[in-house]
Amino acid sequence: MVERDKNHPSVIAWSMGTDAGNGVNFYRMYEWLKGYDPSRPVLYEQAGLEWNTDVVFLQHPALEELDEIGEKTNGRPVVLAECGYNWGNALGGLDPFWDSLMAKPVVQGGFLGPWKDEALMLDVNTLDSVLLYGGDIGPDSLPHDSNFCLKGLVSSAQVPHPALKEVKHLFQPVKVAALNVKKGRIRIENRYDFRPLSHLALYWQVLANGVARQSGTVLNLQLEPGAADTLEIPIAPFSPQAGQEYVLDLSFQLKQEDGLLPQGHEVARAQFILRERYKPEVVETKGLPELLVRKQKRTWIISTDEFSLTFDRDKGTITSYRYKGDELLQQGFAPFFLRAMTDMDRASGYAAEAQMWEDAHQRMYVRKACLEKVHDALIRIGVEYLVPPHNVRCRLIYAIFGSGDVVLDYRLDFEKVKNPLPAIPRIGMHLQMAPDYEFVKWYGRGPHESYSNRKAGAQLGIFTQHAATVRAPYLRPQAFGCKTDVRWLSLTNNSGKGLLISGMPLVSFTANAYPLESHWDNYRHNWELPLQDAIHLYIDLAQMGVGGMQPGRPVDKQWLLPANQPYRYHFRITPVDVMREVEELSVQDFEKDWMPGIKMED
Amino acid sequence: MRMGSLIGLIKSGLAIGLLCGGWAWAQKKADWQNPQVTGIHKMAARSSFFSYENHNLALKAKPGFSRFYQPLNGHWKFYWAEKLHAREDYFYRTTFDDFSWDSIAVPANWEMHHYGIPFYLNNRYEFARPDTAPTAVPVATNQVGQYRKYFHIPRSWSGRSVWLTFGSVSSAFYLWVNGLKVGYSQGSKLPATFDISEYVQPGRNVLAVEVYRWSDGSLLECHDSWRLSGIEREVYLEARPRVHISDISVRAGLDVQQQLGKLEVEVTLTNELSKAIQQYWLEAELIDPDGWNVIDFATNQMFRLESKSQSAVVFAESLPAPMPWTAETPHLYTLLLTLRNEAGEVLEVVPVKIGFRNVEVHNGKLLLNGKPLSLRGVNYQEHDPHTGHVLTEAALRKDLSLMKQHNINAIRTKGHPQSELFYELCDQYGFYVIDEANIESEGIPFASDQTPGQQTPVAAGTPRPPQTHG
Repeated sequence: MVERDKNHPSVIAWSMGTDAGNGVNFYRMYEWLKGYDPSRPVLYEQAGLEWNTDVVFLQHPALEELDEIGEKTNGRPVVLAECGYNWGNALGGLDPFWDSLMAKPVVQGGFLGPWKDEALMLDVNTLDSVLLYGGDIGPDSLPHDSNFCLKGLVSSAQVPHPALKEVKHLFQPVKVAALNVKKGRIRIENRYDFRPLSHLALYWQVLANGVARQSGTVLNLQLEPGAADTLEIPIAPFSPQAGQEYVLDLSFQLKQEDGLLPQGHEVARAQFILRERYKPEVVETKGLPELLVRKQKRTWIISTDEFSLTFDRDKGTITSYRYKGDELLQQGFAPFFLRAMTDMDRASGYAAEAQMWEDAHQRMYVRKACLEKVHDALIRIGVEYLVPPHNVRCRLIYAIFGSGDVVLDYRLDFEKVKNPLPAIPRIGMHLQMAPDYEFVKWYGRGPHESYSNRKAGAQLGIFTQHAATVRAPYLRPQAFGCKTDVRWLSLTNNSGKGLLISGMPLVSFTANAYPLESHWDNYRHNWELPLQDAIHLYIDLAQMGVGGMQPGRPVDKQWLLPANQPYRYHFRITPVDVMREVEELSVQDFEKDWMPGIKMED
Repeated sequence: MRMGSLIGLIKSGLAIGLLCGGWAWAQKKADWQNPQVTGIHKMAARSSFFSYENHNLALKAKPGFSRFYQPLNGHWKFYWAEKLHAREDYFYRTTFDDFSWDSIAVPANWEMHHYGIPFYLNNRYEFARPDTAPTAVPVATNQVGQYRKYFHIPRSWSGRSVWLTFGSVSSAFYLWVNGLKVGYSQGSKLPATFDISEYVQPGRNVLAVEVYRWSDGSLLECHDSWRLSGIEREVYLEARPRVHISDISVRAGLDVQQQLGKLEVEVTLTNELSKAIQQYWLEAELIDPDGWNVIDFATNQMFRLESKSQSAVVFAESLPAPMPWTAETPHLYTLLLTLRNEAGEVLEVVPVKIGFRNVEVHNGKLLLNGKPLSLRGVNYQEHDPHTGHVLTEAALRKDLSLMKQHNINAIRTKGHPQSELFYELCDQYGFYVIDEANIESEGIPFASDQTPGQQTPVAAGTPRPPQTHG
């Protein structure tokens, strides 16, 4: 190896192997290498802190182990030989982990887990070529390590996993901080080791609810490597408009082609909130059309000329929501507590511990449901669910307005629960729509999936997706596709009719045509998941974070949803019929007269 | 020594037999069971480079354009033996009839073509069983692939040395040419080159290869990956002049303070002729990234060499204010070495890409060109879902492109070295590479009395250091 590769400038160090212990042979190998090629450092991961490595080359250290590492290395720098496996949906907590690492002066970087998933495409039994992992081929008695071969940043077919987008953001060579963002004053730091920033151009925009209102270019960035400086973006003063959120978006792009990268390639990106959402237009609800309420044995039907909503008192859900003749809903909003367990959840033991949440939505029953007329154009329906056997309580209030809008208030509490319960995977609601409502558009983080502890690389913007053609990126079925910090989202058909869901202020959502996210463990491969003739939509307050940088370690406490405190969120559902309306409707707000105070009949 | 214990035997250095899978005391070990043997008649390791017949072709640096390079990739005849004794006897003979044999792509992992089962394992040996020693490499149950390939040697190659190179074979193999045994090689992730000049003739020839799925080398190749076998990288022929450049060692240092590039080149020349040579010339020139000639080494060296011997020629030169190499600014110079005979005729021209840079650990920091490096890296192994460990150039380029797009600047060749092309592309596009030897043995515990790292040199260790630098 040394003979073959000795002339390559890219080879900056020799490594004597991996996972092979240390001992006399590696001592001798180190000495031989240092004598033969004094121009390069020699590293060996298994040497640990022993003398036969020029750089302390550690594999998967816990952050705590590194606290006093500076005092133990005997004047040598530390590089992480391996840290972070993107095993399934993982790399949660990447940013704080890496930042903590780099904050130690002795650490000079590291190598993330394997680059690529290693699934094999083979035909097996009666199946044509499909992607397979360990244990899929050959008799069951053969040894294997299952899907532990799938921990790459890109898929086997070289499609980047969402976590790679987070890595790109983490590794970006330009760091930006806000000094006085309203005046356009920012601080940029050049994190290249050798290059000044002159090969980059800065394209800036002021976005109002995701739409560009101002833009400009800074072409002459002058900053030496390692230096930082203040930059003034010439934002023209503006008066904020109703319901608009203003964001300063900064994109650093290549002025010219550079090796493997094309001209215009975005090297770094940053966003800052210029102005939080400005006062929305308030809708005078008393002026809306009068609601007609028909009470039947099992259902309540609330309607006007334009819409009709049927509520099933036993199920506690909306079973029909028709708007201008079109049925928008197949199955109405129901609390949902699960997100399909990830590989990290399984490895840390959380999946087994949190079994009770797997079927909570099925065990749940309606304890009471009641209806109250507030005024001619506002009806409130209250539903109380209990989840046995622990009596977890979920109370919903649907405030239905004469315009067809529904504001949903969700509260989850554990007051009646006696024993401690495992943390909840997901706090949200599930609904099902007909497959033609597959055009998804949202204003929030994107375009790729994001989770509470893995989202810095997902920027705010308006994004679109076809829910019916969304495919699970992870070969072993597990949670995917969550979009966080969403201000609003809409699902429409090809005539532009459908639903707008507005966060109050934010929701996270997932939309796809896969089966309900429960018992996905019954399927070994994502290609086995049967695609449905429906769109499943989940609107969440939050999901727990995804697994972290090492298998076996549970998700950090700060990203958990503990089952010992109350949770509450609201969102508004608005029927839409032409795409234009979505942006207009999203800047509206309703009077707060829908707040609870509803009487629940016994 | 604890007689009843396998571990005690390893400690005492009688490990050889046991490392080789439970052979009885008296039998002679096969080469693929013998940790002392990693090559027979395999040419010594050397830096990777190609030789061209003239200046123009050397600048283009595409081996396929040379008349003296012949790729042998394609479809070869193949026979798979599910057990050791199912091998075809005498399959290497020129008269052997391979008509009924299957055909397999080369390079290819045969498990991807349904010969045997691919295993995915993280840190256990795929052949380990509850009832066998952890270091028992299969013998009777070993699986073997036998290959045959006809090839053509053009008349223009007469008078030249003919070399046959296998880029990578997993895990060990024997080679025959025209019915005669040429040699053996072990060590899956580095090339094996054999001088087959004495075995070939102009016109039609046949080569035969016998590849063993498992060998004692497998004990050091317990990678977190699919365990696959076969010929995994390029196979090709080269015809070199009998007097030729056999190795090149370049040091292209950078004195940051003085802004000076310091180039030292050691060229090993070999004379395969049966007579001595005099007044041969070795010229060298350095061309900068923009194509300008910046150094014509004043010391064009004239040398003489005895028959069947080697000698080294050294040049050194300083280059003021060179464009330094870094992953952010991968400036490459081209060193052209031209070998001429006493009549002044060009025998061969060899291009070597050079980057002026300095790496050191100093004052507790890993420095490149005097500045502390920030390594934003990934671990890399060869993988393709359709072809297993066989990676095409297009797939490799796409991997490197994606890494660049995502602000990655460093790659560790985890578990084993990569193909020669990988390093060329990293030089060209700019990545910091930690080049890791093909040593991973987590299937054996790391305890100091068991790990190969601690074996007495007679046991597992010695072949590997030469292997590492081989």
